[in-house]
Amino acid sequence: VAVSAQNPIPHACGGPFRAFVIPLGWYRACVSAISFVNRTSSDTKAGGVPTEDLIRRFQRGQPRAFEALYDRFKDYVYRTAFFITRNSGDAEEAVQETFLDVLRALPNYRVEGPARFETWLYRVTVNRCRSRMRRKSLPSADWDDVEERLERIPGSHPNHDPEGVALRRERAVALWQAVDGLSEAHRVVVLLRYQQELSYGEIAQALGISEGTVKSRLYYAHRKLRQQLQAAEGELGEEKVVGVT
Amino acid sequence: MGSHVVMELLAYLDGELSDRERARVEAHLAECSRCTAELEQLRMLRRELDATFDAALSPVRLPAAADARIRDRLRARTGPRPLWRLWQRRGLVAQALLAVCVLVFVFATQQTISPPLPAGPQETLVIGQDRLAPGSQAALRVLVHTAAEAAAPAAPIEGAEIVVRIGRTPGLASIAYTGRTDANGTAEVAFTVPEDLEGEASLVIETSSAGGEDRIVRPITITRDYKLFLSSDKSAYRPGQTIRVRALTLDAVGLRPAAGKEIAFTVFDPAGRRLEHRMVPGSDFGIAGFDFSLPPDAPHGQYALQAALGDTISERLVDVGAYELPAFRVAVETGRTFYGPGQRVTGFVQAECFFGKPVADGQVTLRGYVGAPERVQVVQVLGDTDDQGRFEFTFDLPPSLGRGATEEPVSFDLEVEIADMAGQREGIRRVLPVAAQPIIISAVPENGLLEPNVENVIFILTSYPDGRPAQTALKVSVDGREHLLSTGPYGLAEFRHVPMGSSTRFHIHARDAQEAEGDAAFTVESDRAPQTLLLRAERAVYEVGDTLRAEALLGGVGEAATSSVYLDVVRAGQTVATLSAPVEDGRAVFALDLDGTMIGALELHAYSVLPQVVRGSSGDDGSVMNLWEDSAFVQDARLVVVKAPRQVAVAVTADREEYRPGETAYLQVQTDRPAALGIGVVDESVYAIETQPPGFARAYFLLEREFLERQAPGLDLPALLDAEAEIQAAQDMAARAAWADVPAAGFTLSVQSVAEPQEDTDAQVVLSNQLGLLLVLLPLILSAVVARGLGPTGVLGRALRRVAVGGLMLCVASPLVALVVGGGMWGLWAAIGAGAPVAILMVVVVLWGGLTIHGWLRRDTRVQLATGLLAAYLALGGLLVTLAARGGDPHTVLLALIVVTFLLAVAALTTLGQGLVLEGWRRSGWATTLLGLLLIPLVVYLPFVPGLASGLTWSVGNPTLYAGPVGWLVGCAYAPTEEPMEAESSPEAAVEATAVPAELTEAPAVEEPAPTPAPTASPAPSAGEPFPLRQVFPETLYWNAEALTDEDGRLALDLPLSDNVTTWRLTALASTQDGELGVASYDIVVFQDFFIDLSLPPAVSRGEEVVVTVTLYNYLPQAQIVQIEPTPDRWYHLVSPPPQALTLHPNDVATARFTIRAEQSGRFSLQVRAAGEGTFDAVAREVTVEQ
Repeated sequence: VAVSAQNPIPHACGGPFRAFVIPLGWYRACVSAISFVNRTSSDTKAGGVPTEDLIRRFQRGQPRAFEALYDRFKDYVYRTAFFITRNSGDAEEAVQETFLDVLRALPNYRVEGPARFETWLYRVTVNRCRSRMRRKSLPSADWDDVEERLERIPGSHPNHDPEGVALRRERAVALWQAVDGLSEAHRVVVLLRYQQELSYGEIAQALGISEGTVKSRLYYAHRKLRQQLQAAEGELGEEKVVGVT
Repeated sequence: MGSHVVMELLAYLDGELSDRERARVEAHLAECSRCTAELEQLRMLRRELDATFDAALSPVRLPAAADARIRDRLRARTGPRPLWRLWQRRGLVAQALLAVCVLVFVFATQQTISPPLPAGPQETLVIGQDRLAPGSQAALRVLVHTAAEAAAPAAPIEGAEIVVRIGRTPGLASIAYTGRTDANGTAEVAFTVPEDLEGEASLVIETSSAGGEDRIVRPITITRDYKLFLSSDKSAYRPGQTIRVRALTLDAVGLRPAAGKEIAFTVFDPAGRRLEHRMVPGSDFGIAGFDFSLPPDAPHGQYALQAALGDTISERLVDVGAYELPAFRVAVETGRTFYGPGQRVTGFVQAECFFGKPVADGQVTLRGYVGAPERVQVVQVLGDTDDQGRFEFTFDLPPSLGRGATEEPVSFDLEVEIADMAGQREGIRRVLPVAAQPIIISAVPENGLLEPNVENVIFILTSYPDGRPAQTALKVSVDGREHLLSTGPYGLAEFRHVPMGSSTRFHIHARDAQEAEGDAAFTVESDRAPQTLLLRAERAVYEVGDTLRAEALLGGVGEAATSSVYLDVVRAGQTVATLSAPVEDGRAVFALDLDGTMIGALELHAYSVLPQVVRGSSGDDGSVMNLWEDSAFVQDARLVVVKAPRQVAVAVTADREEYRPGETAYLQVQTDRPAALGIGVVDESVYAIETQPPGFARAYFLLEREFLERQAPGLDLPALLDAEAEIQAAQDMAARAAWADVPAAGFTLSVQSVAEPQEDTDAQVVLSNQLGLLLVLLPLILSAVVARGLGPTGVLGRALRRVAVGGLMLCVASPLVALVVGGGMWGLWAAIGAGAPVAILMVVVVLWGGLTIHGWLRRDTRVQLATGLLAAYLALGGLLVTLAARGGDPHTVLLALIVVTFLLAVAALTTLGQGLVLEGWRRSGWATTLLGLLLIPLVVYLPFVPGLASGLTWSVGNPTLYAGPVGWLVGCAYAPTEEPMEAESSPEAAVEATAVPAELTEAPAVEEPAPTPAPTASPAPSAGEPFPLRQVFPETLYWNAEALTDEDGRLALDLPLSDNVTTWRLTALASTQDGELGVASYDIVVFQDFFIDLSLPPAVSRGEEVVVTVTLYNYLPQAQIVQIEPTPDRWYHLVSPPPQALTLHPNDVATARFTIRAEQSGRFSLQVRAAGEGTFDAVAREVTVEQ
């Protein structure tokens, strides 16, 4: 048996209070919509926090932000280093040194500066690789694995044109061998252009050379590659590709 | 067509050309097929390169091993926190887990505290108090009845089993009472409250019958209430004197000394400012003494002395001013104590010096005044006193006086002034009542109002106009009938009457043996309540061993309406006995044997629960609360007093009848059992102002103050308590008349029924034990986190060292630290009371919040964990504290562990803080340190927060935990100060030891001679001179708040007398450890046959001419020719010398005057010698010369 607990003013919070709540709700919805749009339009990589934000966070004292940066770029840096040094061990060392360099230099990095972070990162990577290259080490087994991998490139329609697939594999291997045969300066330019997809200006910044040099190096690299490809085809005795004078 | 653009084709494809270049290339391509072919080839090569790079390098990823290695290296660099990777996400997990823990526990507590209620056909009603005194007899009213329904009214259940348990927590409560209900559904539940149980406790009442079971759990408070009796040596002081205060404390219930309790003494000046506040520990006899020296420039006015123990405060007012002590005593006696208009007044005036000699040949002026506010002198008589200091007078009162409209007596003011031979004047004022009617009649109905339809007692009091009771024959006319009665020696009669109407008019005529007559008429209202209950006790004053008999009369209730009346006996706010009796012929009779536990004032509460009331009230919420408000719940209350069977007998004997100044009086105080004595020896001329009669203390403890204020006119309660047996009955009636109309109060808690929430408190105890275990574990985890967190960065050792050094420094400076911290905390508490812990808690929360932010911003897992653990610790601790306060104290061992680990938590937090400081996080580090340290004041405050006091909070909040170790380290910093007066083995030594300081401390402050003694005429105690210079004139000769007698009740008092010629009154208030009291007083006469007295103002201005009066007293058998000689001194100039020689006859008092002019300012002594033939006296008085 309990005393009936009655609300002294039943349903008192109906009218004016609700009228206030609705506009507030709408306002909130609009705000969240706008912020959503803003976020998707801003520069992000793989849906994460923009690299610049990560840098800023690190600079504000969040060590985790650096780890995020590392996670974001470690494979790119490794590929670059591996391509340049042709040695996985050297590449790993280079990656470590690169990120240690970045860690050391990042507090003073200017996010608002003209260069993208990636440009700066590859410059550090290339420099680290070059200093490592002075100690000549032989290409590691992994490097040969790359070529083997090219020989097993899966065709898009394997049952449709086995011959075409085989041909493509051969050309890929030949092209890779041609790239491998380029001088170090040309290889790096090609790498940054095709693997990291940097613009000429960024490549120039990353390598500390002028844009014109980038242009010419690319031109000569391509010419050389074509020549190498033609030579390789000539060796195979297949004159299918139209020669260029 | 321009030049070929082969070089630009690649850039064109890569989109790296400017708009102009692109336009040029495109224009060329449109015309040049070679370049177009080249472009196609390049485009193909680019595609192939893209694909090849993609296929060749995309699968290349940093090997996991290298990744982990590099990550480690990087983490080692991103901060000195190897723990970071270890606890990277565990901080969050731990915090979440702890939050869940807290939530679960809160939820669980909620569940245990308010479980669903079963409702049965049986209901239980409990009436009693929620405050009990430890070790006392307590009683409860427990009523078991069936729940009322519309069809069947509630009926008492006979034979229901009642179990009452009491204990710290409901789970630990031990059985205090078991029994079964009688036919009235009630039982006389009486039990002894455990002596060792103090503070919050639980009372469990379980009843079971065929109708079901009830379990009622009530929080109760077990505290001692105290009575404080405050006395001071005098009631008037001069600035510069010392006020001696003594407090005697007894606990209110057992009237036993409140041994060892600290008593707070406070002195307030006339403006209400607090001058002094001191805590004084009470002795085993509950006595504490306190001295307060008034500064020489203390403002005049009324000062308040206050003593407080717990909630009990006693106050005494004393006057401070520049009063003059009277030179002699004047008394007036008249032949009768009251007069009629125009009657002749005869009487005499008696004047006597304080050393016992009559004032002979004094000039008497007697004046009589009438009227207020403006007085008119109607009588004047002049004359001289005879050799015995006596003067007889006769005069007639004005015939018109006292014949006013009312029967109230008017006052005639008699003022007498006597000037002795030396010209000193003293006076006295007497008020003589003058009334037309020589007998005054007043009537008091027993209950304030008349209860209709039952027999009421009306007390009739007859008295003379002076207040003395008159023994008379009465004729009472009421409702047209006459009743003849007579009043006893105390002028009281009981008149029994059954009123019928709404008001009753009485006419009373009284006549005494001397044919004096009086008439009076009264109209008394009747109580209009339809049903009434009248409680009547047979007597008002009982002794231990008597049987209290009381009857309750029910009026206006049908014969079969009620079955029984309940009588609860309440003493000092606690029910001590419950009785019930069946109603027969509208009356219920009770009898209660009074034992030693019932000493003091007893409130008798009688009430009857009428059946229809229970039916009406149990219909809604089941609570019987509204019984009290229902008019059909009838009740009445009465007061009776139970006297203690014996008191301490105190006797004082002296080695001689009379002493000379400067001698030592050997006194012996004898009590009939060992006791503590409060002894004061005060100049009788001062003591005359004392307001409280000696018997007051005893009466005070027996009676509540409010009852004292209820005295009927002409009744002296203290006297009443010490009265002789033959007038006992009359006094009894007087007391009943005085307390006829007592408000019904008394039950602080107390009506409950089955519908009350039932607490499963065993589960509470289990819960609190689990919580306690968690509270022990959390600091351990915290310490581990701190140790692991600081270890890898290498600062753990240094941080620990810092904490240790800090602790050591605190130890070394412990008195200062204790003063500052303790004082600060005390001040904070004094300033904002219970807000203090809240304020500290807020600071703690703010610091905690800051640290949490730090922890998350810096990804500092240690701080994250620490804050999480701390939050959980505080939340769970708070929960446990509230649980403990509600009766769920954890196990004692656990309690100790909680205390230890609390200290560990403080140490861990401070260490973490110092570690952070060492790592460079200065702000966060110091915040952590402060946070750790603030936990201490937080818990120290806890037990003082209302509702949080429990064994737990008292244990954890004990300041000695934190101050104690500090004190031990420095040795005596906390050693308690020894009481200088405590030499119980040899009371003589104790008394002697204190007697001298008593004199010394009084004298220098008041009347010690100036530090510049006269070089020439120092008559000081040289050989052969019988009377040395008399210069020490204290008003309080001796004061000892607590002198202990030996096992035989003896106390020898060696009392060095001062230089006063006066009578000292020794008052000894004895109290034993059983709380028995006794009082004795003794007069010590100090006299010499020839002496002089000096009178001069205590302060004069420099350059002022002052007349110094020397009064000479000669009680030698032969006449004296006396030479008076003021001792010359540099500070004054003798303007006119005293007469060369003065002849004094036996029993002569004469004066000599001389004039001096003060030449220097400062404090000086004026010495005067008077030499007769073979007799000599010299007196020094202190005087202050102002600039």
